[in-house]
Amino acid sequence: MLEPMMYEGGVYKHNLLVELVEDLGGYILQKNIMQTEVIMIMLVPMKDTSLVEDMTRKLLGELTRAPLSGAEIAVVAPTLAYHHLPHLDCDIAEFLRRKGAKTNMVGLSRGVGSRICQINAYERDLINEHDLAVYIFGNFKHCITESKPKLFEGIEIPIVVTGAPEIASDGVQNADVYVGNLGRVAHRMRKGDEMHAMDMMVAEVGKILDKLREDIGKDQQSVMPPRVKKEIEDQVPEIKQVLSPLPITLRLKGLKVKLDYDEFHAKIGEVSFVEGIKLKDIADIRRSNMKNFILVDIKPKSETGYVI
Amino acid sequence: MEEDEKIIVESPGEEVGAIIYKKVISDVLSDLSLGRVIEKVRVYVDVTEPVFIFVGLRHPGLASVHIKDFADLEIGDYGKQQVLIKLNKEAYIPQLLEKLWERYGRGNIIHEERTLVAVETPDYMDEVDILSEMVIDEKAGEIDDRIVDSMLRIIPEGFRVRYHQMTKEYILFVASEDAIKQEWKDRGQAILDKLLDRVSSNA
Repeated sequence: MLEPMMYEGGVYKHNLLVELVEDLGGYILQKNIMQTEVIMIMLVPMKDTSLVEDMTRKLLGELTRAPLSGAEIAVVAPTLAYHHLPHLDCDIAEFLRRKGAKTNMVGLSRGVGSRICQINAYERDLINEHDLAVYIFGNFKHCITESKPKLFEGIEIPIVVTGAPEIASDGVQNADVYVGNLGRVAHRMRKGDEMHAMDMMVAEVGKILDKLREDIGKDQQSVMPPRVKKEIEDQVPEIKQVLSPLPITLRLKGLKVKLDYDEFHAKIGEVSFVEGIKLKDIADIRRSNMKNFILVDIKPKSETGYVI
Repeated sequence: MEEDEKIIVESPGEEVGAIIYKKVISDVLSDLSLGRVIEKVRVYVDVTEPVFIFVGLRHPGLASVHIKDFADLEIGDYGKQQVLIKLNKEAYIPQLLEKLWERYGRGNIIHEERTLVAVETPDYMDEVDILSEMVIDEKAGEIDDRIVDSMLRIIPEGFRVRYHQMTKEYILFVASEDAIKQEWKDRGQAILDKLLDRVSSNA
């Protein structure tokens, strides 16, 4: 079992930690170097976490649990106009990122209003590529419970809804959870109760992701996504030229590779493992709606018959 | 007293929404530095209709700036067809020159000293009076723009059908998704009349 963790510390000698995690059989999921600071999100074997903690102490860094690591979350706003951005939406996305998630902000083209709001097929498919969607709504109960559920039509992933009024956590039709006290505001979220509401939201997202992981665990994936990430990095050199902050993004069910589908999907399929198996044998490789990237969905054991 | 409050948001059945909306309005007004321009705000929202009515009372606006406010004017020396503008403040020179070039052409404006502008014109006797009344800076126009901007930020984004009145005294804004009904306009007018009444009885 691997434990998701986040390391924050100085750049100096952080390679020692990278090497330690790799030696222990863990994976570095993301490494961001900002001037003299480094933030790393990594998966560490659970029984060896004490070794990583010792090394962190030696490097004077800070180690926290990042329960949302390895998940890609869509933060959905009715539009990207100044009514919604930047304050609430960016703060929520930032909070999710701090716990290790990869977030994408989705602004709907016609998500505003109560009677007139709608979602189109492209947006629906795009949101469905994520592991979970957080919908950020406004201040009026009637609007959230009666009008906006239209925007959930065809969404197959779990949905978390935020808004200002107090509504029972299962009070919004077709949504999994509702989190209150996060309505439309025009200032930065920094007061105590606002921070508390954000923590609540992250906790609810964490719970849903844990449940999803458990479901996936019942029928194990043929290979763990972080291992595929490592193999792609070793065997497809072009990935090093990608300028996105996260060229290979982990999802619960697989990965997203930020290379052009038409040019590279065959090459990604040919990635091989020491067991003599190719990626195309144990995964579906398909086109992403996001910038023609490559989506890799790893098949479960019940389909392939083995786990490597 | 409730009536003395600066911002009141009323929304039947949506108490939390009303409280948060009050914060949104005060944030937007302070972002655009309109806190002292708008005296009183009354908002009525009913999302079941849906309608959003905004009524705001304005402070009497700032006066426009005329040339005579910051300069002395006289006609030029004997034999010269000139108006001389002696500046007491340098703050408005860019706007002043812009206006003068537009009216007399660049070649007729002589600006050799920092605080002295000479305007060459054959009708210098009449022009000296016209010039002293010339408006150089219009504060009110810029504030109107900011008020309209604040309205668009405050009303819910989906409410794209709008009806508005804007005068030097007040702003009345009705917005909805559907065609504006007469009863909404009447309700807005009633809120406005009540506000204006109160203010005049206080005065």
